[in-house]
Amino acid sequence: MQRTDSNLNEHIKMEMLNSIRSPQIVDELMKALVELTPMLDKEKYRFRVAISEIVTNSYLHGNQQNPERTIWISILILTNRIEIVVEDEGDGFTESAISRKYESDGIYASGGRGIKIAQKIADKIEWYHTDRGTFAVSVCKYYKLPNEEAVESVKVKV
Amino acid sequence: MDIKQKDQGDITILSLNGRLDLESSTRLKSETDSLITDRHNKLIFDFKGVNFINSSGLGALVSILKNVNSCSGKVILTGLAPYVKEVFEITQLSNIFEIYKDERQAMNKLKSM
Ligand SMILES: Nc1ncnc2c1ncn2[C@@H]1O[C@H](COP(=O)(O)OP(=O)(O)OP(=O)(O)O)[C@@H](O)[C@H]1O
Ligand SMILES: [Mg+2]
Repeated sequence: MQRTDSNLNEHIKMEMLNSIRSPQIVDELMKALVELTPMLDKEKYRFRVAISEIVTNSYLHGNQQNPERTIWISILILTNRIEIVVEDEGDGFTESAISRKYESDGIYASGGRGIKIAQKIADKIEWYHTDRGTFAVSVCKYYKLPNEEAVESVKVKV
Repeated sequence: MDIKQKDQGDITILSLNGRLDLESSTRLKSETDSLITDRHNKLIFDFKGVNFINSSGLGALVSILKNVNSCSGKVILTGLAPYVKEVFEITQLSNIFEIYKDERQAMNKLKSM
């Protein structure tokens, strides 16, 4: 199913207790929600991977696997883009935390790839502390039109 | 995720089915690590049934690869869907993993070792 409404405007908000299954549950939901957008199939999958990275990090690093903590998700589906904000109850991270782990072990590092993957896939990723004391990561992706995809693959070939 | 094991001589083929994410990657790592020894160190991961992978799955595979390398063995990945393969490319892990189209090619490679 692909909707082509010219005025997409859906805002979905939810909260869930921190669980090892949180990333998968959110992904199953995302799998359904991306179908509301005109994203290309390839982009839908990529976007789901980016979101799974952020939710996995909230479960592991932000909420420290604590089952009493909460993850909040806000999904905004607009005419030209989809925006997701994932919040957790942790202390957050800084730019330097992202590369630290990876740099020590190089390509054989056990981790440190999640945010890099998400940054590569999304158009914009931001992180900040909210007024209510949570740590938030927002991910934004503009829908690519089929002709933009064609232009890109030509570029890659050159 | 469902993991099926098939042994052919000293080669172990693990067919993965489902999602390779946080929950399943811990299990994949522990089940695989318990198989690897100096004499049993040739592994093929059949990815035909894998429909989702993220950095948690990649991390588990890298640590399996390190373990196999330390036993002088080899890991080959086969049957990756293009969208699954893409994250290996984004993270440049395609440089350290041997990735083949199908199991037969992988078997030939391992038998010639
Ligand atoms: N929500 C968060 N709260 C606190 N720290 C975080 C959060 N997300 C990421 N981090 C920090 O940033 C680092 C990098 O995250 P990234 O997802 O890139 O790698 P990783 O989670 O360590 O490993 P991988 O994702 O490859 O399994 C983490 O190790 C952690 O220190
Ligand atoms: Mg991560």
